[in-house]
Amino acid sequence: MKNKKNAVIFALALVGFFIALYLSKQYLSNSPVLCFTGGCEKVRLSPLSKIAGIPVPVFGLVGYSLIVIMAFLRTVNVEFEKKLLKPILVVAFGGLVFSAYNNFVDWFIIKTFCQYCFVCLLIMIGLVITSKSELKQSPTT
Amino acid sequence: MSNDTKVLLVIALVTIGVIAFIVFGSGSATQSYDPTVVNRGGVATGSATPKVTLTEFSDFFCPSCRTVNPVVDQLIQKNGDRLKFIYRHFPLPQHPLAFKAAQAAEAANLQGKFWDYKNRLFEDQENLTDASFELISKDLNLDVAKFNKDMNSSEVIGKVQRDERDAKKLNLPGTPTFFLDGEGLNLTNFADLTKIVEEKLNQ
Repeated sequence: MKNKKNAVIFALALVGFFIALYLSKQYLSNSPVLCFTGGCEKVRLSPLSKIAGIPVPVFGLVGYSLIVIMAFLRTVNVEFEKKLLKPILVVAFGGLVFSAYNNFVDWFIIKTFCQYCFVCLLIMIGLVITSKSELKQSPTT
Repeated sequence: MSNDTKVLLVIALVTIGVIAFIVFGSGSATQSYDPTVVNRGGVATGSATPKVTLTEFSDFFCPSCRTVNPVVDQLIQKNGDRLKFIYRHFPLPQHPLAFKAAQAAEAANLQGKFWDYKNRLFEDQENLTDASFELISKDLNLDVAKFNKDMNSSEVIGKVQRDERDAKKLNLPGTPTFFLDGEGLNLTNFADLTKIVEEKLNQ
């Protein structure tokens, strides 16, 4: 396998995608969220779980989808492999800032702990570190 | 197709497989419990000669119970001639005022206002304090002196304790937990509750 880091990016984003898909479905159908920490429901029912009327997981769904698609396209041809790494880093960095903000809201405003928000933060950290290190290795891209 | 593309497709298939196993392999939609324990006690409404009995173990401080409350109310309103609904208490230890809220609802029940009181508790869930119980009883025109006395009576406390004991005996995973004719429902979506109950009613 030529590009292991891209596979890591793809796998992380895919896990994030399914988490966001599950949460979006539950939010949009006003259904409970399976939660081991007890905090997810508190977050879901908070007015802060929506931005401009759009549930927060929907933003995650868009971000993760973009990264999954771009990581996949990078394996299709060399041109994409070179050109799509920076956009992946940009989306991942944006996601990291967004995710950090959401965890801040959970911990300090809603005063609870949401397992999904925390896992998403870890995924975004992983995505930024992996894409950044790949970018460092290939300075010409 | 390059090797890298193939690897990503394998990763995608494995991930989808794992997710599908978690979603579809987590058991059937229903689970068997001891029906004699499920439906004893509680506060009932709806049909006296029901075709179907729906039982809920609930906690007035549980956000999901608040979310499902209007769904249950709608079910009773629509199908009250054939459906019996039993509300049972399962005050969770992480909610310090949940047991007291259950006592308050049972005290309101002794004055025939359980359902109104229950709805007020869910509506005000975010802002409930120790003082709220009496205030709600005043709002609902209850006899406040009797309400306060009943709330701490051994009859009321015993009722809540019995529900709580049964919930533990049934090994309930949390709240809300629903039973349809004694069969435990594994709901992933509250819209499914309406669907499952109405399907059973129309059988």
